[in-house]
Amino acid sequence: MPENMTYEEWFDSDVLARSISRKEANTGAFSNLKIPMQKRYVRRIAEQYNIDLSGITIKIQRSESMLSLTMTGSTDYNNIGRIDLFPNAFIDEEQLVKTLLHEKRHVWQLKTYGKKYVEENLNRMEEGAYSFEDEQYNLLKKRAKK
Amino acid sequence: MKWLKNLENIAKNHKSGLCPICGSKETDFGYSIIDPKSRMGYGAVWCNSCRHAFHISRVEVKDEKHIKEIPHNLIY
Repeated sequence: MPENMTYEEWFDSDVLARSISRKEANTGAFSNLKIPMQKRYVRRIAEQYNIDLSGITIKIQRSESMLSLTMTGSTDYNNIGRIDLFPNAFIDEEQLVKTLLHEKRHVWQLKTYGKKYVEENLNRMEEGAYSFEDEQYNLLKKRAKK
Repeated sequence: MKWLKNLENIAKNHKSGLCPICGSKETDFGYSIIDPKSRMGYGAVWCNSCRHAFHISRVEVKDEKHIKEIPHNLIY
């Protein structure tokens, strides 16, 4: 493992993928998910759609039991900038892109309005995040690099 | 993620389990729908003893039984 990488960065990096010829698709319980549950694919798709992930820390939750929950993402209210992606975010490209846009909007809300205001106005914050993801997805998919 | 076991419990047996902050059994969870057409919304898992909570920000709400008003004075 390179000295300048954490284990998690190494696990998700192209360096490891090249070194062990890691499979390019999900396996086992996750095999129905079209997008590989790896950060490098998240970064690749974000780049295709011109979504800026600077200042965002992505964590992928790989618990199999989470497949039966229909949640795709969450934003950390205390470590602002951290986004957790759940298995169902990887169902297809649209779900992943919309989840990234949605959670990025929450990060913006937390930075702009502060945690207390966001906590007290959850419904309004979610309405804003859903509007944002719809508008941005429709715009960005037309311009996405293929 | 402090609330991961609670999410796993909900996935397995629809019970939210012990609070990861104070250890109380008095936890609950629920969902709220934002877009009735797509049934997309948000949810929370919370503790009724210490009021700490986890926010689920993007979810397709299929669990009819747990669509409910999410308390307002929670600490996320």
